[in-house]
Amino acid sequence: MAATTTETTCLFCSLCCPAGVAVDEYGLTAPEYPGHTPAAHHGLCYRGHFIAELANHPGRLTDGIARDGSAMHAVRPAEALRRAAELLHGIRNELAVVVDGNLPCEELAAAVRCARDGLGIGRATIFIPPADEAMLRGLAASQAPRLGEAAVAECDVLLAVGDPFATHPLIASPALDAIGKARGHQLINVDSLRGRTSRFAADFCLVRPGGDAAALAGILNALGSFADLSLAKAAEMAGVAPGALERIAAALGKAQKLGVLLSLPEGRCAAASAVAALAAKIALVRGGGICPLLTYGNAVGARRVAAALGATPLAQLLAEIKAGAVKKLIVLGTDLAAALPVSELASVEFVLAASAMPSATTARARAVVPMALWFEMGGTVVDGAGQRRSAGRIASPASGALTPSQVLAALGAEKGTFSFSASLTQDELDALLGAEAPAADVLSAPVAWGAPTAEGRLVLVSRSDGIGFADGSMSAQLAWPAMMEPRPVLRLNPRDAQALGGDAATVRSNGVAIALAIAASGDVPPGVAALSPRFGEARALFPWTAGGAGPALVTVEKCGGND
Amino acid sequence: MATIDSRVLLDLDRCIECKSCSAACFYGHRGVPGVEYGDAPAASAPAVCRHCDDPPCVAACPFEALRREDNCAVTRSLVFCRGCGSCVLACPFGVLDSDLTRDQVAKCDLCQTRVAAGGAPRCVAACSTGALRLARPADAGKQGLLLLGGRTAGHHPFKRR
Repeated sequence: MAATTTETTCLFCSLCCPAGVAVDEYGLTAPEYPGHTPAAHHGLCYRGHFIAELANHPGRLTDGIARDGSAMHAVRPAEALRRAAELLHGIRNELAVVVDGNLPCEELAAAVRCARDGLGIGRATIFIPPADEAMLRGLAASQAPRLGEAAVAECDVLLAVGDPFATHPLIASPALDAIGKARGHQLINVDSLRGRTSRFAADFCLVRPGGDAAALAGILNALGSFADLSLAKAAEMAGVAPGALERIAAALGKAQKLGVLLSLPEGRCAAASAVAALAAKIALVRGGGICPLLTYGNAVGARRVAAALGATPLAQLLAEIKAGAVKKLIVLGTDLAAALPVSELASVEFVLAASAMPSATTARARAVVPMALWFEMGGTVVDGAGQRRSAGRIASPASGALTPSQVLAALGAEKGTFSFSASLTQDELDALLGAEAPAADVLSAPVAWGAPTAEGRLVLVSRSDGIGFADGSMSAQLAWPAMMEPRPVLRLNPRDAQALGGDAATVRSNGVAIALAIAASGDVPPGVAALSPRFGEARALFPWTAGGAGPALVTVEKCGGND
Repeated sequence: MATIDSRVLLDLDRCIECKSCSAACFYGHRGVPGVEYGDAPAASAPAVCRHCDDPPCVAACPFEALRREDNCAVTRSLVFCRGCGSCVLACPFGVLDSDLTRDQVAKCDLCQTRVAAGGAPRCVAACSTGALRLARPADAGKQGLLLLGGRTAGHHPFKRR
């Protein structure tokens, strides 16, 4: 059989690029490069190439798992579901369902309805990464237009917050087109590390880790539109000279069409909602637009579905877990145990987990069933600019793999309660995706936007490498990322690295101590340490919560004492 | 066999060091990465085989695993290569993979089947910014690019780095 190319939408980030995959008699074999986004010169970023590997991954779950005490047994998925049903017998009030938000909207709606109407479980949460949630919360109140890739290419001045070229490589193509179009077009970058974007910036503003919000408030103040924080105070909090913020404001003031690229990955900025709201305000003041760069391809769609169906917010679910109101979880598709701090979930029992791959969550679950991936389901997603995209189904689910709604329906069938249909009419889909979560006031506490500091400690920030997926579970199991960086490496300023000495260090933070290899990098300012967030053990160093993870204060000691 | 006179050129003005080219090569060649990354303190950039007219790697190979094809592409035989690393030492441009754990040296084959069919090598097709191009080095000037050392180009290649 000759190979044919079929297309879906890549959901590894909110640019939602069309992704072509070659299909032959062995199934999905390799990524291909058919027509891609109109503004992009060429193809997918590296993440798009993972689709074929994920589909055929040798570690993929095809059997169910049942746990008796500490022993694990491979069982048929139906048997795992039967055991889960037994464990859940008679339990309703203490139970919650968490379903991964990076799935087609139809599937999300079906899963929430299935949990609520079919199984009678009151709490159903659609998980999106805390940083995505924080950014969208900050943007919710803003009327600033959302920019897609084509609109970014039309801008004459771009303000990049964070390191979008590292986290979302394909946005670099229209951005470079925009700044290369004419003399005077420029890219301005505000970030706490020297990243890939900074190398193309006409003006790079290096702020203290966590000082992003203060820097943007200062720029807005210099533009005459934010009086809650003086320029001098904002500059002090951001760790920059007031003149630097005034210079940026002057450049933005001359823009004919301003575009703001917003990339706020976990562990990079302290007040992501405030940063997003301030960035949108800058765009609005200058008549420009904003391009939110999210980790989940369908974060916007998932948030709309959650708002339309009244799903339980993650923050509320964690509060109820803490209060003891929720004691058991059904986790479908997301690696919740890796995505959130151990302390947040210590008291809860994972009764049933559905996952495509083994993960920290499946390791804790009493029963596990294999789950289908998004390109095995198909449906509608909403990209970061708010445009609906069709994420086509390009392969049949792997052997034994189920969708979240099928898992819940099967669980209900085990209990003999109901049957259901997962299909949606166009009107129902329109109603779901027309909903918006209520806006929140995220600019009321500018005093909290200061950068964390403490004598004798370094500030740990996440290094934007773009490989790490939001829940930390997928890229760790893929071949190319493992080849590029097989272990976590702590990057320090050459001066700090020399002062520390050696090539390994023990890093302590957040009640966690881990040994890491260290490397010197001129991209890291003094007093700062940078670490890729894609390794589970490294992620534990950051204070992950439902409100997002900011920079962490850490102590770094040479491994093996001072010898 | 038609001569392939185009080569992979790198436009420094557009390379964001994302390594998508490396991933495309890795997955396209079943886990053997042909695109190397040169890491220097100031930058890292992809280093793709130049398919030299008089390739030192071919002369250095003691097992005749490397050869210059009639179409001018320099290829390596999976059967004859024993991973001795002679070609790695001989290559003056550092584009050959010195990781010998697979007992093979990774070598760019210019994705000949794709190029012969009118397409581009995987690294070029996957490049997320258009920094890698398949072009005749002699034509670089027509595109307004300043060519450095035959394979690296840019409108202002000295400015950014």
